Amino acid sequence: MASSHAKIRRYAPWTPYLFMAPFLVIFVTFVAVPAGLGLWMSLHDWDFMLENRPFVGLQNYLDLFDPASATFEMFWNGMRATGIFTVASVPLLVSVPLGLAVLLNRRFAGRTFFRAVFFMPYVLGVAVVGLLFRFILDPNIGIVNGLTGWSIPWITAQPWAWISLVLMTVWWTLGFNTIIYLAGLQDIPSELYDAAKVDGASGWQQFRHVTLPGLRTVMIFVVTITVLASANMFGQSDLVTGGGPGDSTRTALMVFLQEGLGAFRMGNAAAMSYLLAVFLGIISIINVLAMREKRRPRWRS
Amino acid sequence: MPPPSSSAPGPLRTLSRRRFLGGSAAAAATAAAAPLTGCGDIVGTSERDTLQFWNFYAPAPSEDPSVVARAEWMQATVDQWNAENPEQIELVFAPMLGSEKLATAFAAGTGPDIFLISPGDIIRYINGDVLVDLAPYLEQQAIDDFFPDNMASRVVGDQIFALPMEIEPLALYYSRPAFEQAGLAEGDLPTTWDDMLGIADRLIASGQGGLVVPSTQGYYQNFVWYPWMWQGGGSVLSDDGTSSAFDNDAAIEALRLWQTAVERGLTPRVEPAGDDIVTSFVEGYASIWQSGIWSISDFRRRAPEFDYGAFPLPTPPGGEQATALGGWAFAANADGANPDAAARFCAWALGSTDTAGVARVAEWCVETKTDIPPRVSSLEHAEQIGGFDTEIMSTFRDDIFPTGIGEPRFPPVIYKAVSDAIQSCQLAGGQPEEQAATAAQGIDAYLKTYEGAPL
Repeated sequence: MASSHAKIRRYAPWTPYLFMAPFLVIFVTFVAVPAGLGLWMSLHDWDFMLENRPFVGLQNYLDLFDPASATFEMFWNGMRATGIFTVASVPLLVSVPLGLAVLLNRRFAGRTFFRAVFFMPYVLGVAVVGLLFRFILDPNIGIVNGLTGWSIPWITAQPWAWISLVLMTVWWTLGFNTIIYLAGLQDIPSELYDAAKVDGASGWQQFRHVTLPGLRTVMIFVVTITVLASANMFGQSDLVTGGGPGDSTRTALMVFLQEGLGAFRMGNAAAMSYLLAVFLGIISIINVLAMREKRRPRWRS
Repeated sequence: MPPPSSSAPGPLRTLSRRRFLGGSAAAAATAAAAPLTGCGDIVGTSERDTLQFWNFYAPAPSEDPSVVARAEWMQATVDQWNAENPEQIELVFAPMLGSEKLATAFAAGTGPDIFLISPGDIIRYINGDVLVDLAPYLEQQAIDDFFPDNMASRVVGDQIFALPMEIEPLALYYSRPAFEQAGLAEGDLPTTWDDMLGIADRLIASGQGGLVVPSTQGYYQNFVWYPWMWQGGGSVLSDDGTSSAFDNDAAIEALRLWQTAVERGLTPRVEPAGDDIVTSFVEGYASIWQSGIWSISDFRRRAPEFDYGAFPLPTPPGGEQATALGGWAFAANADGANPDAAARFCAWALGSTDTAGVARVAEWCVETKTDIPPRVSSLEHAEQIGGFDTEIMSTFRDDIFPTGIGEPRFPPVIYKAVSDAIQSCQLAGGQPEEQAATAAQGIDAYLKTYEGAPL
């Protein structure tokens, strides 16, 4: 026994790394190394087609704050578009799934079926959803205008293009947040609702004073990942509006792609993406701080 | 590997969960890794036995007669070369050649040996030093044979980095049935911008389709828009190419023209019928359409009975007629498997001075397609074989081509600045003055650090 125990201990230090290795290999290859290389690129005038890639220090970052630079306008236009989409979509993506989850948490016939129905769009890829809505909303041949007789420029004029992109995103992704909320709702002890009823709480009061506090940690998670997902919006704009009309729906990620792989100015594109990452980090921290529990709810203490 | 037979023995039926998961993981890893190896049969240049020629004609991707005819010319040209030379060439169908695909392939060191390139996209390859200078492979007689204005965008000093296979001027096509329905006749064809908008108004008012110019962002939209600016004497860059000239009245008025056409409902925000001029005219979705000479062959093959015409782009007050000359060219990769053979192929296919060489270019331009040949001798040959006997072809040759200016070669940043101004004004309510100034500022900022071939 003693010798086998020693043998196990001798190999023990490697065991966790071996278990992590499959993940780490992929993580290092596709996240850590590209991120490091991106940081390196952002400090250079890096054009894939040119052999000379001079070190420029922080110039690529400074250009993003210099109105006279070639990248200033396009970068901040992209950031503005990303901001508009995030502000318009996050409230809907946080509130609509919450209401839906509360409804789907009740007992009624066909509940499982409806849970599946609302989650189903989420399993579709952005290419499928994008092309679907591209044709549904097409001003010439779209079925929406065709059936209703309207002539609304859903994807070719503002504010319709934003309305279309936000609504299709809500339809597409609300299932994910709904499932998260549902899991959170099932974690709230039913005794709390019983106690609230005994105290004479109305349905709204139960929701306000039992459900919402019980979902606080879930809500932090949902808001954080929804903000990040909305700020990384790319496929919907690229496929449905092509960034148009004008550049009004050209989000930050589309700008990075154009600058990096379209114009091949990878140094600028890398600097832009790092700046967005910093912004998103700050927003996420603010989000967590703002929603952090000031005091643990009584039923947990 | 052949597919497994349906009577496969035991293992499949007795597959354990662990083996299934292991197999699935391996399959998933293989599937995940597949895209990383690049696209299909594209391999590193040093590994190739044959030279690859990326093009968007052959092997033919569809049964469309126009497409088939163009694929046949490409195939016949390559077949003839392969029969006469030890270095073999393989045609690789590469759609969307003007997109990131080609640039990304070059960046990864897997650029094709020979490829088609447009003036709008060529400068990054010239500056990247990846194109073979074709001048040493051409006789002086052949070099002199190409129309110099059209050649200019492919030339730096004495070096020739691509050989044009065609010249494609732009004009306005119109549907005679639509004009008749609106009570308009040949004499009403507009010669000024105001006339053009007025005619489009009358067409729309009588239930006909409108005036179509591209609304989709891209190199093509810029190419189609340039002549409207040139007519007023404007340009994107100063004459020496070192600063922006975009913030000028001619550019602003051209931006305003396209904006007005959309705002008045004369130009659709999305090109009708999937951007297909033939279907749009036949079905009545459009009455006037800005397009190139290539559309003639599309009508000829797909709607030979349809009655249509073409006329030069109308001009602004005090302006001069102008059109843009587009067209694709053959280029050879200096870092390819055999740059010498690739360059010899380009020079042989499009620059041979013998009768067969002259005829090859002429046939591409007037039999396979409908274009202006890029060489004087080929234009004469095309005339001899009846390529310009129709009224519309002679209109392009005599009235439109002489007013042409070669499509400029701009780096992506300049193209994008102009493109954003066009898109903003046309579709998003941008003010032309502001957009022109913004674009000019961005171009100037870029040019301060630009190092490369003259623009």
